[in-house]
Amino acid sequence: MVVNMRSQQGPAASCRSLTKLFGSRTVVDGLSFDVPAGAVTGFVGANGAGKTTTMRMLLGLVAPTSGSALVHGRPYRELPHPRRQVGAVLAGPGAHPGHSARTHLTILATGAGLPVRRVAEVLDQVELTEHAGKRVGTYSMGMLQRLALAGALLGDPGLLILDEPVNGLDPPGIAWLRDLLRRLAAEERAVLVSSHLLGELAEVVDRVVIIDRGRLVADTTLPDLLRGRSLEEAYFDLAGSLSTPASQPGAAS
Amino acid sequence: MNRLLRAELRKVLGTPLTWWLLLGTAAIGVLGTIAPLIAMDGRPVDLLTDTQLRTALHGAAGGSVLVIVVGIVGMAGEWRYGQAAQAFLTSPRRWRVVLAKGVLQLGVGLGYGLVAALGSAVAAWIWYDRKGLTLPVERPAVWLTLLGCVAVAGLFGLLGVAVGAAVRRQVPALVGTLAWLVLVEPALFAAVPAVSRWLPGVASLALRGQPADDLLPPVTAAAVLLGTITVALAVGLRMVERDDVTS
Repeated sequence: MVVNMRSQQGPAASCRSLTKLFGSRTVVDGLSFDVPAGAVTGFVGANGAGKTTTMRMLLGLVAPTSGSALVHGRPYRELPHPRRQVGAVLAGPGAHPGHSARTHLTILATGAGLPVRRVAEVLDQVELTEHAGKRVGTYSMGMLQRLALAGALLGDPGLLILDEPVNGLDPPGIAWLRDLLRRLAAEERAVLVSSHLLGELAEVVDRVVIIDRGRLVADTTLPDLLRGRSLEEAYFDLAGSLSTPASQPGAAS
Repeated sequence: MNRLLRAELRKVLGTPLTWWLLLGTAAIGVLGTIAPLIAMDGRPVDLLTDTQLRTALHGAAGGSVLVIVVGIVGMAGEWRYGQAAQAFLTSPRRWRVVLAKGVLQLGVGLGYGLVAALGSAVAAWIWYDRKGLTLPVERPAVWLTLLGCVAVAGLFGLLGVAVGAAVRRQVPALVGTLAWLVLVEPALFAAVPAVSRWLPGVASLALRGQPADDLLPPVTAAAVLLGTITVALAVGLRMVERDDVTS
């Protein structure tokens, strides 16, 4: 049995005055918001708005220029059992194309000190068991996303940080992911999920954090945000900028 | 650290390139031994002198060339497919990942070196036997050469990790390192041997018992190689700890 390391007190993740500069370019600018447990929080912004950089700062992969990015009340780097506390989907599964999905997940489980039987469990959970022995290099985009999700779920974490998990999923895959996110929130986990598909996001999120050019535009519940509008309309009313700094070459999102 | 080492071992064993390069190492070990023996065949050469024994067994040195590729790919390759991010999500203290890779690639290098040494020794044994001679394995010229080749292979595995950590882009790291070791250093050694013998690649020739003038004594050469690795590893660790992981 995997020891679940879910935090019961305070937000599962929080940013306070979080700022990141790449050179002289400000990508995240004084951002503050919380990710509560038991809810799916949508993280919305145009390309280059700073979503991915913010998520990577929460995960300890990018160092903040100033401010704090905490998970379970502390920097990711200080978590005693990171994989058991936080699961993440970044750009792709981070697997060697010559490895099979099973090998990739076994490597992750071994490094994190998780029981290897979790590999079969998460493969089953993301409905990838049938293809687990195939080389990752042969996978479709949708299968890669499922494998990335399997890696995030491996440690049965209380917080999931998912960067564009819908990318590459076909309609049945999107429906499956929607159900998965709802189940995870119902289990009192915290989910922070970014997506460009605002219609899809509106189907699953409880809260919405909107950023534009690295700055917070809205941080509220979905009903409070919508007030009779679609999420897309609300987004364009609040943040409407489509020409962000990071649309420019070399910019990080 | 044990968990990371086991994870890295699974990663290396599950990567086809590891096995292809090991096969290449064995082939180079054999061919690198047979080729000089064929070149000497028919000439009035005493195959049992220290110099000829070292020349014959130098095929074992091939192991160290390919193992540096394994080390570089094992470290710099992590950034190519997003594996670095996954590794640092598992172990946010990044130096532990680099250290685990270093220890593992040291072991992989020794393994490659042993395979190359074995291939070289067997090929030489068969050749000598066909010439009615016995390969004198008890002679220091034989076992020190083989031992040196194994040691250099281990150290080059570690050096590959250090270079990979410092550069973190697989292709430039590979091209730059191989060009430096195979082209630049030999050219410099030919031009200014008194200075160039202190370079790491040339020092490795001394440690591998290559019969050549102007090389450092093996112990000094080992110190040069270890010093180079220490500096490269320190630079690599610093950069991996400091830089953002954006891919």
